[in-house]
Amino acid sequence: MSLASAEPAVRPASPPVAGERDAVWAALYDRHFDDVYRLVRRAGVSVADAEDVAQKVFLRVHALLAHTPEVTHPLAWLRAITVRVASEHHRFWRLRRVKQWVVEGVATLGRAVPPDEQYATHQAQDQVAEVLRRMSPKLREVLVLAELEELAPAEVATILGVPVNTVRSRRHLARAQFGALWQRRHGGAP
Amino acid sequence: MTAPPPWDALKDVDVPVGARGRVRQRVVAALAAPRPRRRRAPVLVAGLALAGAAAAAVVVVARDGAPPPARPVAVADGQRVALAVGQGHASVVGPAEVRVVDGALRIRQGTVETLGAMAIAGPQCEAHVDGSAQVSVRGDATQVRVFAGFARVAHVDPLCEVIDLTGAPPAPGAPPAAPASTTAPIDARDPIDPTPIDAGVPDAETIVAAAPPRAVAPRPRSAAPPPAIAPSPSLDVDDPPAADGPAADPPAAAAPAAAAPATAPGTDPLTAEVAAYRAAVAREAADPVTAIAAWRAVLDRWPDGALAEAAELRLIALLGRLGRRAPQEAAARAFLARHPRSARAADVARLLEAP
Repeated sequence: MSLASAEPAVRPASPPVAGERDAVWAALYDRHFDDVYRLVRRAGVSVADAEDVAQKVFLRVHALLAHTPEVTHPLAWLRAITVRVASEHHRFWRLRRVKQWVVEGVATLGRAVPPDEQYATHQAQDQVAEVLRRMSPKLREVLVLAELEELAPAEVATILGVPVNTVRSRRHLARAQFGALWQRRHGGAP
Repeated sequence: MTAPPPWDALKDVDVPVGARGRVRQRVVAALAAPRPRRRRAPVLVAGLALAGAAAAAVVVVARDGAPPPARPVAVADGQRVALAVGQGHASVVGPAEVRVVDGALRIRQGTVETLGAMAIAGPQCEAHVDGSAQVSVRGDATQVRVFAGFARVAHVDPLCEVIDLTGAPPAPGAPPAAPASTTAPIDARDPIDPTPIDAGVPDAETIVAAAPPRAVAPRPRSAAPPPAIAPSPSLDVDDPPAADGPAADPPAAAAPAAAAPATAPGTDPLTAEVAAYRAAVAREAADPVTAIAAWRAVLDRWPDGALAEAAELRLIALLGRLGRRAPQEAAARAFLARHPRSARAADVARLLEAP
């Protein structure tokens, strides 16, 4: 998928009044909720928090629409917002873990989750999400957009606002970091 | 052929059924809610005298504390909308129709779960709740079920019923109210709050009805201490609880009769469920290991009972205290499957996320 093939601009007008903004927001929501939700999950957000993060994304979209003159590539714009909101969520999640560590003690950390066949699929996703959460935010964003969303480096560069070569180098580093974290966590090759 | 990278597992992410509607409802409700005004930088105040600064601060505080305007909220069947009301949060369970007027929650129809302090009003009932409660309005009748904290009704009315499930004895001279004794109001959405999983669930029950009186007689509070999830030294799965210790769950047949006591024919089902719940709480204090079977007996008998959610939380907490990590996780997953929108769902999910 390329940015050029994205759907036409949702609103080719100046910053809208409230009613128009609501209509634009509703169109974006109806068209792209599933894309945003999936990206939220692929960014390492757990099932329990995914709807909360998606809600934050669309609240931010609504707020940004008041100041955004034109959205030429809605999906790319939503992806950029989503990865930032997900990164903010992960920062908060880290704080929660530190708090939990302080409250519950070291004994509760570093414990593997026992396998459960009934939830094998979700567990596999949770394991990947857990490793993603531990990655550097910049590398995680590139890995998610390039590997999971399967975007070209140029598209990732547009979304993140960085040069294409930076995306390529971060992608290389991201794969290495994911592999190292995965091996440390699960013992196998990534 | 090389194996696919592990992150491929996240490529096939399903969007949960109803997620689109739930998120939309929450976003719309959040957009409809009045935004707290941002405090202006006190640029001018810096140059004023101390008295002027104090006066300006009073103005700011008064402005922030202004009650939000009335806003009707209609929640469709199967949906849930969270609202900030008074000094707490309300979760409106659809189908319902509510309105926030002067910081009070007016319920025209439906069920609302409340956390914190707020004023609520039904068609014929006005009450103040502080703690954890469930308010249901059907027709002209309003029922307030208090799980933790207390509720007070403004006027005793046959159509305004308060059921106290906190286990606290009623305050002398104040029949409709029961003082908070076990838990402070809980903000379940606070992810840093180390509140135990089962905080806020009733230890026992007394029912104080404004009118009409319920079949269950008030009882003194159980001596069982409020449980807390404490990390057990045997939490590491590499070091499971010893088989000869309290590790193995007692067979269901060993569940004491007190767990689900036989009730006389014609007994109110709620009375029987409450009695079994109370028996399981008492057993937790006396013999935590057999209390597991007691809780499971309660859940087997009343899987959709009024106290089922609370019972599941008690069971999850109990398994944690006993170091049964695997059964605890299974119970936690079952809880999330059955009560995905519980006020404690985030806490239970966090328990599963903890490595």
